[in-house]
Amino acid sequence: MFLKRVFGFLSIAFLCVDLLILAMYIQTKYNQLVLSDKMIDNAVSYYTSNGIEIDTDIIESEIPENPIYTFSGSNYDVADRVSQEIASKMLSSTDVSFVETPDGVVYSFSENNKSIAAFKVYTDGLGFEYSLTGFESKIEQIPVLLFNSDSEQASALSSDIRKRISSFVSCISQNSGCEYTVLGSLGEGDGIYVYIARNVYGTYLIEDMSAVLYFEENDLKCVSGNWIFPEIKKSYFEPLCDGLNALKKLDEAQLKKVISEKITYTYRSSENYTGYLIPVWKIEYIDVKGNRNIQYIDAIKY
Amino acid sequence: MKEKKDTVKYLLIFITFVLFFAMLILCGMYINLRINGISSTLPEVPGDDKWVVTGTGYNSNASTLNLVSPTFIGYKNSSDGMVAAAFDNEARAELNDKYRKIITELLKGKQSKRKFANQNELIQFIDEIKKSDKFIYVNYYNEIPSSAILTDFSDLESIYKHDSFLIKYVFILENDNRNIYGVCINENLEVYLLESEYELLYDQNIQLAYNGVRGFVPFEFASFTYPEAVFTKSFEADSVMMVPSASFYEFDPDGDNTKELLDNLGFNRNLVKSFRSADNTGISFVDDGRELYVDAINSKMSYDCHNRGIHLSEYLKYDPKGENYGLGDILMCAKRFVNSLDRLLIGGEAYPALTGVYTDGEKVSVNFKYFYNGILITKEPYDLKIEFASDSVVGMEINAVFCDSGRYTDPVIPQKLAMTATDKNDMPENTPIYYNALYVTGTGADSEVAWISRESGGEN
Repeated sequence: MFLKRVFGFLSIAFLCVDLLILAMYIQTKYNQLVLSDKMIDNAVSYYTSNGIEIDTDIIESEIPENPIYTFSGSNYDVADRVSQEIASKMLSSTDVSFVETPDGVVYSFSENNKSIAAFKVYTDGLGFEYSLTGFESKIEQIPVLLFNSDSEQASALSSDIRKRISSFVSCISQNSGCEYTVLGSLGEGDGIYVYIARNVYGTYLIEDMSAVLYFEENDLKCVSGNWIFPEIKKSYFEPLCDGLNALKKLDEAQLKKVISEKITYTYRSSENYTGYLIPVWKIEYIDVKGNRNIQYIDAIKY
Repeated sequence: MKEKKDTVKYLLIFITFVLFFAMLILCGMYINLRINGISSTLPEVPGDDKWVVTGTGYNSNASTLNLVSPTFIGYKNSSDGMVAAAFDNEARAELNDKYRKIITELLKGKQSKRKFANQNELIQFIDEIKKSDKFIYVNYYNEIPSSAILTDFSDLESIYKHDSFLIKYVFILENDNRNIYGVCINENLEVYLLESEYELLYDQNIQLAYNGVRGFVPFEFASFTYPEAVFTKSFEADSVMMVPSASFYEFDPDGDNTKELLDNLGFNRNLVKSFRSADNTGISFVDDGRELYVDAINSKMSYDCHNRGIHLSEYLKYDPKGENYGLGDILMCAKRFVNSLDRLLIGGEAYPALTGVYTDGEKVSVNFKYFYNGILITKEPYDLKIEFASDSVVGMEINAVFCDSGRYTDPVIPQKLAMTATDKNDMPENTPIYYNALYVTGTGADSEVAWISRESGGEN
């Protein structure tokens, strides 16, 4: 009975202390990591008085805390494993052979001694191609700007197509789940091109780390793009600059209207075969000549 | 019944332990947030790869170091009053950039020395400037030649023609026509007025964007003649880590870094001979009259060309058309010379900024000290000294220290409060007293910021 009372008392005491620390933590975090409304209002009125259109909602009030992700090695190092995954998940093939080429390695998938698909991994960079045998890819000829980025159309992709995208992405993303973002689609009915980007985590995607997939009658016919095959790991943290300071790095004389700003990731490699995925501010704006521009601003303070 | 009681008891014990461990975790998270200002517990990017995320490598000479940098930069306007950039990279960089553009235009324009009938008139003039409605205010560590500022921003021709004068304090103000003009004051309270050659309007919004943005702290002028400024409130300053470069830099004659260093100092790498003391604390590189000596214990490097100096044209790639090289050329050469050195040896993330140019009639010494966001990192009278004679670089001394940003930020006590504790009785009357911040640190340990005061040209 006595023990029960003691532990009952301790439970309540610890609960109170936990709640108190939690409240202090939330309040401190809010004070340190959120820009006040006054700061944002001041900035907006400053830009407005200089003839630059900007909404208060555009400026991110939270100071981002996105971690830095890394990966080791190259696509070539894990190409064997990726090709095995493609063979088992995408094709009913168990026979995989490869041939080294001056610019990479080509894997051939065959069934009953008949070649059914090929997968090429380039040694220079992160490029790759996949296509069914005899299928002539025309992906390279499609400018990505043609893709309809209307989110409604992107979400209108059939569940079969979505399943196949997920399945393929899980093959080429080693131990990283299959997080990707559909950036757009092109075509209807028989032939559909889908443009996807690799996510680091959540909805944060890597700029220029994308692929175009071509489907005919819900079958994946070919894929081409850049992708990180090795496992991506959450590794480091560096303080990031807030959205206000990011905006201030733009050349005000060239600004007419700020459309959006958000954190996204970019890829850089070090000399010791470690790839870094680094948060950057992506700011979209219209310049004084009326052109729409995108500028990437380093988010890491230095 | 007993079983049920036992179950409740064990459940309570379990809950107590869960809540206890939750408390420990929350405490850790809270302390981390308070100390580091972040809620992440991930480590920093390793030093070797820092250049990947920042775009600048420690040993990369790609980013050009500027010759001069203010130790204090602030402004006054109607909404914010007088505020100055604290020791924060982001806040300083923006304002510094704006100031640099303006001062360059003004220095390229008309300059005149203002004459005063008497001392009272001079003091009244400075006092009126301090009370102006709006201005940008800049303060250098010591007085520096105006041509040194131009070497950072201008074309060579204008430096060559520039008639230099000394600058310690600069005010950028607005005249009745809304044009910008500058007032430069030096240690002897000589006042120079700067005007642009063409219309340069004072931008009313020049500082409004900084409203409320972190990194700006109120300041006021210390209550004596010299427009020396002090922060009136506390703020957070970044900590730094410092290590003697000699503790990790291998002065190996076959190493790429050392080869490059010797090349830059005019050694013939095929003929250079290296000697090491028996205890490995002294390393000497010798080549026909040139010597580079490294004192590994004190992490000092000294370079002497004796009679075989490196001609200025080696760095400048031009000659002064039959005339002697001027001060502007010497400063430009010093800038290029500093930029040719490995940053691992000259402060790392701290930068060497010009603190003075001195001459004994024969030699000209150009002195630098290392600053990290405007804070001194050593107590040495100078951290880097380059000596010139007969249009040649003839010697150099380096306090080889590597500085990196630390993990923490530390609150500093208001400078004004700290300065009231300074004993000024020991200082002669009418001697200008300069105020600065200095990192005090143990080797390799994270540092703390201390406020210092010193007499003109001295250290304290």
